[in-house]
Amino acid sequence: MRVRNFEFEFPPPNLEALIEARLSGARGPYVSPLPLPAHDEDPADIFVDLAESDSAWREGLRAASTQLLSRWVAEFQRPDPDRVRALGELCYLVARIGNTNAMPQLEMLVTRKESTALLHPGEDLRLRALRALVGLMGSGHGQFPQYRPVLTQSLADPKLALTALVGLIGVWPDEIDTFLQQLPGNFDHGELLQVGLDLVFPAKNPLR
Amino acid sequence: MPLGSYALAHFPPNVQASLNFWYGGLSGSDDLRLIQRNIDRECDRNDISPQVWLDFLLEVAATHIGPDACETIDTVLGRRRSYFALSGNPLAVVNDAQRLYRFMRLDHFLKYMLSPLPIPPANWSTLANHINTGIIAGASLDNKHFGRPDYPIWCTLSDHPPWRATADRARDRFGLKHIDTGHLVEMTYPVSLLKTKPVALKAPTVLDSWAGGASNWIFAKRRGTGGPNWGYTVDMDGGGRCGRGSTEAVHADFQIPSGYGPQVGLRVYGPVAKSAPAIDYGKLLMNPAV
Repeated sequence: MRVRNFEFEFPPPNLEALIEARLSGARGPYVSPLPLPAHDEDPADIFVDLAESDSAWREGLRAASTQLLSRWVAEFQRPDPDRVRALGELCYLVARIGNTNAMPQLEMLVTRKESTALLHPGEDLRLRALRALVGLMGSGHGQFPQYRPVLTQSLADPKLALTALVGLIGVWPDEIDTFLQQLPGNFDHGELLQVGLDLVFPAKNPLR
Repeated sequence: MPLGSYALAHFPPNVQASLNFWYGGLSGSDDLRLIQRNIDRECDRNDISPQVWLDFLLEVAATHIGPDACETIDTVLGRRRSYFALSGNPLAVVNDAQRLYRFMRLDHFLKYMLSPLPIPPANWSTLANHINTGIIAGASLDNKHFGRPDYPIWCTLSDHPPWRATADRARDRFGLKHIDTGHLVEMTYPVSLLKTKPVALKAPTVLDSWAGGASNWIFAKRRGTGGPNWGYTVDMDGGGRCGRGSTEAVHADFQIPSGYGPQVGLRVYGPVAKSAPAIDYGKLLMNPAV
């Protein structure tokens, strides 16, 4: 398989270590099977490309990223900036490769107080995890009722409200009025609510 | 001017020796020799702040123990990213109404500019359609952060339509060789928007080209003396030897003030159909246009 003019064989057996090394910015033999990151490229991008190009890579990346996220969430004690950045990138990766097995770990990150560490201006780790969680809720055939509490709780936070609202309306469209009433005062979801529903739940958008 | 001559004029013998050792580590292949050439050209010009360039070279000399010269670059830049980022001198004033253009991956646009939207695994054509039909427009970017702190934002003056015929052509024109799939977003904004922070348009330097990692990025430093001047992209079309692309400059990140978002134009191209063309760095080095 050829991606970015590099020849890739089957995914290596140490895929978890490879993801960890890439997202942590490591150099050396662990990351040598991958092209070096390019300008304007994020560490997870190469894995997204590989998952889109080959089902064996996609399945391997899903399993390995679940293991890595479980370990990193368990280890996450203090908001070390490098780990926060890598965790944010891992949340992005699991969403992009449709890894619904990682949803429990994403939910844990949304509720951890350490997750208020900033990833970049305007987005903390909590929001990144919630964006990934809701993005995955439109995948497959699951209804994911177990995530209703975390979404309902997030509705009260202006920074998380829109993302949570997309998830709630997407899964329980009949209750849209109830959810809208729970939004913080003066909260304006603007055009992004409709766009979010179209992106994640294209067949269930009650605003259409 | 070769780095050796520059070092002779500015540094004591021990620093010269260390720099020569580091520079020699960039001679093992044609892609590394392009980095060597860029360093030599930087020494020729007035594009970069002299103090920052001297400080960078001093730190390289103190750090490099070999064998990976690119790793040394990344280590030195990583230690003081804020200091070394955007070290180019400001460019001559450009008319406020002049529009700048920036290309980025659509998934990055969602990730960074459209937060708090969820991150879906698929359905990117829907997002592209929402942008191209104006449901998502510049107004959606009010108060959003444009770019990443301590990293250059690359932009061009070029609005030449042929470069935008397809996403593949635009990708090639701007040397975005790591983009194999997905859509590209073109953001266009007036120079006056930069003055709201303010941030300056600056000449692109080798330090900017290494901001995301010293390897695996095509950058051709402008040749000759003088400056500060706009640079140019490396156009990947041309059977491996590439060609001179469009104008390019860099500026810092900034927050788009409330009410200014509508000044930003958005358009999505794609999806990209093919991998980027292969590059023959040997032929590129021989190409007089680059």
